Amino acid sequence: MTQLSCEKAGELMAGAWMSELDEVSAAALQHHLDACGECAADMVALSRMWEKMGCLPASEPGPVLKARWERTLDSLMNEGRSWRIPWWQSVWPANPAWQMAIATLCLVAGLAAGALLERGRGERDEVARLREEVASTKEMVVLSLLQQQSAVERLRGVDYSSRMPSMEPQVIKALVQAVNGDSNVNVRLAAIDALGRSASDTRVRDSMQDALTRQESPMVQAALIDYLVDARDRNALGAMRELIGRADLNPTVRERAAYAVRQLGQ
Amino acid sequence: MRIHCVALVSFMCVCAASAQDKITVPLSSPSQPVTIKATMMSGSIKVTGGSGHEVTVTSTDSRAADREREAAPAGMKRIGARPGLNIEEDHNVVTISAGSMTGGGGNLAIETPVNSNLQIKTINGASIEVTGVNGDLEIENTNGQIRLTNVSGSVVAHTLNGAVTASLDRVTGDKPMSFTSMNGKIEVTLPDDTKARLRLKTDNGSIYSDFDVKLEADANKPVVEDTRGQGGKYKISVDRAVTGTINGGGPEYTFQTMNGAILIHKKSASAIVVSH
Repeated sequence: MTQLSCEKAGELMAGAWMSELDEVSAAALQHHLDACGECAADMVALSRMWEKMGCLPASEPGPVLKARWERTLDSLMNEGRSWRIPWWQSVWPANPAWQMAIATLCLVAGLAAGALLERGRGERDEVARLREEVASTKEMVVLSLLQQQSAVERLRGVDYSSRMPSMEPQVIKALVQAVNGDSNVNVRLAAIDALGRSASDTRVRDSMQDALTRQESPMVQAALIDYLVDARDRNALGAMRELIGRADLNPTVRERAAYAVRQLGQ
Repeated sequence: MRIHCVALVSFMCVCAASAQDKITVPLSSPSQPVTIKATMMSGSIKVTGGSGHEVTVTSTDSRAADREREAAPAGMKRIGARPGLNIEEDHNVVTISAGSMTGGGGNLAIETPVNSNLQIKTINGASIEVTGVNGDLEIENTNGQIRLTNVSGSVVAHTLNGAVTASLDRVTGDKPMSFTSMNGKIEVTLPDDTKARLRLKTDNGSIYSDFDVKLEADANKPVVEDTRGQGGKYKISVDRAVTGTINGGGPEYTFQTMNGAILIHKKSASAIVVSH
C-alpha cells in the first residue's frame, strides 16, 4: 500500500467527493485518513461543505442581464451579411475525395482547353502560311509569265501583277525590266501602268527617269512623261530636259515633255 | 538541245527578172499550230489563214517597175536590184525577214494554216492585214495601219501612225489584249458575249461603244492627296484612263491612242462569218 503524504491526500479528497478515484487511490486515501486524524477531520468538514454547495439552487439571470443578452443577439443577427457563408463554400464539398475529384477534373479541363487553343492558333498559322504560299505562287506565276516568248503571255503577267493586293519587290523589279527591255511596245505601256501603284517608291521613279532617256518608242516616252508628272517627281526635270534635247524626238513627245517641265517646275 | 527536224529554206534573191516569188515552206508538224515571225523594214504584209497544212510566202517587189524605168548609167546594164528574203522553219516556227536597213520595196503575202500564232512587224509598211487566223496575234507597225479581219484568239497590236482596225469572231477567254496607236483611230469589234475589263485611254478623241460598259465606281472619281499638314500640297488628280467591264468583266483589254477616237463594236453571233 502506497503511503500518502498529507498534501497528496488533500489533492485526492476532491476526487473522492466526485467518486472519480480508482480503487488503489481510494484505498490509499482511506488508509491515510485512518492514520492521520488531522486529515480525517478536514475530510469530514470539507465533505459537509461540498454537500451543502450541492444543495444550493441554480441562480436565474436577472432581467437586466436577459435584456443585454437579447440586444447582443439582435446586433449579431443584423450583421448577418458579413457572417454569411460564401456561395462557393456552400457548393464546395467537404469530402476530400470529392475535392480531389473536382481538382482533377479542373486539371483535365485546363489541359483540354489549352490543347484547343493551341490547335486554333495552329489553324490560324496554317491559314497565314497558306496565304503566303498563294501570294508566293502568284508572284512566281507573274515572274514566269513576264519571261515568256509570247507578248500576249507577258501582257497576261502584267495583268496578273496589277490584280495582286500588293506588289513584291521581285515583281516591281520584273516590271521595271519590262519597261526598259521588253520588245513589245504594248507590254511596256502596260508595265508602266501597273507600276503606277508604286509611284511613291523613289527607286521606281528613278528607274522611270532612266527609262525615259533610253526609250525609243514615242508612245512609251509619252507614257513615262505622264507617269513622272503624276508622281510630281521634280527630280525628273533633268531627264525631261535631256529628252527635249534629242534631235530625233517626236514633235508630239517634245511638246508633251516641255509641258511636263513647266508643270513640274511650278 | 536536240533538234528533231530543221528545215531551212534560205533565198537571197539577186535576180531582177521576176517581180514575184512564191515559196512553199514545209512544216515539221503540219497538224500542229504554227508560229509565223515576219519582219520587214519596208513594205506591207498580208497574212491569210488557209485550209492547207503548209506555209506559202509570196514576195512582191512593189518598186520593180520604178527601177525598170530608171535609166542605167552610160555603158552599163542592170543586173539586179531587189530586197532580200530569208525564210527559216524550225519546229513549226517559220521566221521570215525581208528588206534591209536601207529600205526596199517588197510586199509579203503569207498563207498559213488557220491555227497560227503571228508575230508580224514592219517599220515603214503601208499596212499589215491579217484575215481568218486563230491564235496569239502580235502585230506592230510604225508608219501604217493595222487591219485584222475575222480573226480569233488574242491580239496585241500597235502602230505609231495609223489606225488599228480589228474584227474578232472569238476571243481567248483568259488572255488580255491591247490595241494602241499614237496617231490613229482604234476600232475593234468583239463578240457580244466577250467578258473583259476595258481600259480606255485617249488624249484627243472620244470613246464610243455599243456594249453595255459598266464603268468602275471610282473610275472618274478625283483622287485627292492632302499633305499640307506635313508641309506638302493639296493635289487633285483624275485618272487618264476610263475603266469598265463588259459582261461581268474578265482579262484586261487596253485601248489607247493619243490622237484619235476609240470605237468598240459588238458583233452578234449571226454576224460572224465562218470562213474556215
